[in-house]
Amino acid sequence: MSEHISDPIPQASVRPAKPLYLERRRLEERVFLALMRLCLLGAAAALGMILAVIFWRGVGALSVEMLTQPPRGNFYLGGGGGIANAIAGSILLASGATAAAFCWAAPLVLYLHAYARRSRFAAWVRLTLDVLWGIPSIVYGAFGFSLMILLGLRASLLAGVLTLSLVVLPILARTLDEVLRMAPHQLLETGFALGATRAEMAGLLLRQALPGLFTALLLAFGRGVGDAASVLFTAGYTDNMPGGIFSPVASLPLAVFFQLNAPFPAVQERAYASALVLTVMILVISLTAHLSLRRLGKHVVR
Amino acid sequence: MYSLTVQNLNVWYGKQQALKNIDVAFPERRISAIIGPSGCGKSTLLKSFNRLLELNEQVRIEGRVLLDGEDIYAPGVDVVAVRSRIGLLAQKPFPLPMSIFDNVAYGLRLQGRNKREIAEVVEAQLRAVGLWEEVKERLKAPATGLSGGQQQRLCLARTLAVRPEILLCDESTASLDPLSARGIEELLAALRGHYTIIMVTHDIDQARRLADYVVFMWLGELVEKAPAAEFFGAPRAELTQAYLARRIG
Ligand SMILES: Nc1ncnc2c1ncn2[C@@H]1O[C@H](COP(=O)(O)OP(=O)(O)OP(=O)(O)O)[C@@H](O)[C@H]1O
Ligand SMILES: [Mg+2]
Repeated sequence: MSEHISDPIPQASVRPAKPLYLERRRLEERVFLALMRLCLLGAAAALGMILAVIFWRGVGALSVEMLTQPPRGNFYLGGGGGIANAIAGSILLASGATAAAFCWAAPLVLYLHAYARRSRFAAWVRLTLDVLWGIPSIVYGAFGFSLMILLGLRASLLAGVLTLSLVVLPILARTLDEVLRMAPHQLLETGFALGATRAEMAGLLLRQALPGLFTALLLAFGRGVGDAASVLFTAGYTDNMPGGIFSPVASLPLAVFFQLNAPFPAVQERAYASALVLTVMILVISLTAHLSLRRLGKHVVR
Repeated sequence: MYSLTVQNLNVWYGKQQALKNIDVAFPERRISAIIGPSGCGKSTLLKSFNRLLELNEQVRIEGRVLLDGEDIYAPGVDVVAVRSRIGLLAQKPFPLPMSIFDNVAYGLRLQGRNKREIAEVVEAQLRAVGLWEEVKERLKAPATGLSGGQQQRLCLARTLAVRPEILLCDESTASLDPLSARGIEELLAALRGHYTIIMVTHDIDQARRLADYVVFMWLGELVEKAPAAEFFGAPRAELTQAYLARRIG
């Protein structure tokens, strides 16, 4: 054994990397960059094409009458009238469902954050919500329908709103949950140190979550407006304007569906016009949600 | 007279013990400083005084913390009541997500004070921390718009507005620029005699300037506690001497 102790600081290798390797790595980077751009382009193209198709096929049938009149007698044979019944119905269904889901989701999520915190119970609630999120909305539709039968109710705005609120609930609750999860820990410490009870803490959390809350509401509304399967049996369909919570209402997705099924090209064109109306509504909502996140955050501490 | 007495306090984060057999009493209406290297448990000790430690589910606490002779960890004690008797000024200024006025008013509203009283106290406290002239024109503006030093003074006003008996400060000047830090320091010095102040600090010189009583901690244990003159003049433990000479820590 020699007494020599190896040099504690290893000498850095000063040999330059082989130019060949560098070349290959540059090429690799270019290939992957190109691939990523291709994927991006693909996604953008898909959205662009959908918009283009419904625009070109639908814009011809779009008119003031289409937007402001309910269908007349021979509407599905190519006669006069419009889809105002479905527009109004969809707005009522989606806003009703969002409001109902909010009244349910907000206390639930605030409870999770102010009381249950990281308990096992909270983990279970989150898991349940995730499962609910994954259930296809036709299942909610079927559930709502069987419940209606049980209670002896007709297809109606009320039944549609309640069923749709089940679809929207997990979306709203989990989005809110994520928003509150981003609240800094110091918010809790500050509130409690000032002598807040847990209920008062919930109020403080809600304040902190306000911009995110608005976004969550819009997302839920957007989802509700576009959902067809849950309202198919529960809200029914009618050619009349909405007439109270106990009578059936029309909805845009179903309007698209029924018109697209008609054998007449003129009616099919109107289906595309209806789809255009629906898409524009959802686009506007999504954009507002996106922009509001920045606007409403003025009091929020980051 | 002591306003806060700690008896045989042990704290664990999960399996890791953060505080070991802490025994100390903090003199009333004086400034006490807790010093020690990073990770020695200063913040943990401070947060055990207003039961904020419990927000962390894996924390286990044993021992007693007496506030005016009554154990705040005894069963049946109202946590909210305890916390409203003890104020906290954090390391980073943290304005609540509301306006400047509402920030100071928040604790008062929780106590159910009436409007006129709240307006009076808010103004008085903002004056006391030297912020009134700077913000009186924009009381309704979001508090996040203030500078770091202003925010910390706002937080002090907010804490004092609820009239706590004890003020806990966890490195409350550490995140501020030197001038703002000096401002907060002077405010704390002016509060001596009115509040029992317990401050955590990394800054030995700050402890020298402010403290009447000093507690030195090392790896979760309390190494030395003494009145400031004694502590800085003739430290007994070797660890303390080494720390004060900046040979360790
Ligand atoms: N939330 C936590 N979970 C687990 N361990 C923690 C937690 N907070 C603190 N600890 C541990 O407890 C010990 C004391 O931490 P503490 O924050 O009280 O130290 P400190 O003296 O305030 O340090 P610093 O001066 O850096 O603020 C450290 O070893 C730390 O790793
Ligand atoms: Mg600390």
